[in-house]
Amino acid sequence: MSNEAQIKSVALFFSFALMDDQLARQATLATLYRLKKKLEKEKLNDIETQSLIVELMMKFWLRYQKYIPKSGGMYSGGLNTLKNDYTDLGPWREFKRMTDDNEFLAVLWSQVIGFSDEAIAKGLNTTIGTVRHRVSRGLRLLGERMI
Amino acid sequence: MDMNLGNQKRKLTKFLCREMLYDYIQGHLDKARDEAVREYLENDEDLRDELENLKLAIQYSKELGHAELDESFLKEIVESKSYFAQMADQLAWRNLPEYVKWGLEAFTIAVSVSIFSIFVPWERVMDWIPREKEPAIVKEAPRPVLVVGQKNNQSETVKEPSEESNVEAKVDEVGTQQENQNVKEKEPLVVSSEKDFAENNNANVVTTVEKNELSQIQKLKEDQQEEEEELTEKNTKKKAKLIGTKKALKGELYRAFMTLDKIDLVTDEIREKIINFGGEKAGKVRLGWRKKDGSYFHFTFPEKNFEDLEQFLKSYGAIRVYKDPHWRVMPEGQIRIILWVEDSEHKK
Repeated sequence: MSNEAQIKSVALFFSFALMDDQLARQATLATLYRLKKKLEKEKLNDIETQSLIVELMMKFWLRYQKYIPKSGGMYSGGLNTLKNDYTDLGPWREFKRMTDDNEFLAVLWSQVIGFSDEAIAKGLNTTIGTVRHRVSRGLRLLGERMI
Repeated sequence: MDMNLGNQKRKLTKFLCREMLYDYIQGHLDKARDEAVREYLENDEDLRDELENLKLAIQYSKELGHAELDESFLKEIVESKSYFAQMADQLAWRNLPEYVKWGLEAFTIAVSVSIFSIFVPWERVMDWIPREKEPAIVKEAPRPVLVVGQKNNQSETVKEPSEESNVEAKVDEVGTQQENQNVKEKEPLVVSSEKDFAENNNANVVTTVEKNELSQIQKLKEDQQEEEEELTEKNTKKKAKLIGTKKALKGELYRAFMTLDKIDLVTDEIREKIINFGGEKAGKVRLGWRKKDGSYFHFTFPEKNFEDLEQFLKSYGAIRVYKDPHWRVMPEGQIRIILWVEDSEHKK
């Protein structure tokens, strides 16, 4: 996994997970700094790198999501962390607000970021079946918001 | 509806089919289940709708994943440092203002000096520094000059001899040349008893000085030197050692002088009285050592009986008493007296 790919995956994750520019920036920088320190100590293959990234993302998401306002930090415009090719984030916001955190994050890692189910399961210290079940339920809810 | 898993057929419910839709889309099902789900979907419109929604959700998620990051954000990420790295940069010594640098340096020096001064054992350090032995300088105590009345107890007041400046005193049981000089300079010769002196301590009149009394003192010292010569060689060396060392004059020695006739008779009487009052021979020679020109008494005496002894001696004639500082310290309640009774007939 290249450095650019790592940066993009972490930045996208926090952008869509926190839905707040400032928090997304801080969480991204903190995660990448920690990831850099870890990768300097040991060499990992792709699966192990992805699982490490998942683990760090989870850690910092838990830390920063406490700062999200009760209103959800939603705004009508897009995220400034993304290029202004307009992407309708409405369904996504609704999905984030209505679904369980585990299912939401599972969809984000699996379908948005593109991590393998095995890496996600290893990073969360759970089974692949559990990850797929969460993704299935999450996508079902997201699909209902698409209507 | 039956499913075949291998040769086995499984029954599929709507619930199970719904749960397996995602795996069906992803191709995670085995052949039997895949076929079973396909057959079920053909007969269930709701599940087909759910399948379509699922596909839309997957497509939508993929589109989100294709979103490009803003270039400024990317640049910020690439060039950024962690919070602590930023703090470390700001707190780097080179980036601090000058006044802060000076303050920190001064604080560090102050703390270092304080710790050093507190924890260094200065007493031991001072012991290591070699010092020159300083001569023992002893301040000679001012001699109280006593005015002794004559046989008819006439008393005369005297002027107390002027105090000497610091005098380096030699250790000598007999006395020193310097003391002789002091005696000469002071001219204390007209004296009274200590008791009278206490009463007349405001006196300012100096009576006549008798030169022969100075010679008496000189002679007394010569006699004392003779006494030392009569001591054994061992004691002499011991004394020499003592003389070599300069000890602080913390003790006192009473010197008394009288001039009487019928010296032989007087000597015995005085000796007997001294013993009766509790006196004991202090020197090596016998109490009342009879010499050609007088009698020498060197004894320790209870201080409480000194006045009584003085009164007794005054009954014979005038007595002059000096109290000199001496290196030998007597036990509490005891004093040491050297009494010289000169033969007036020999003097003539």
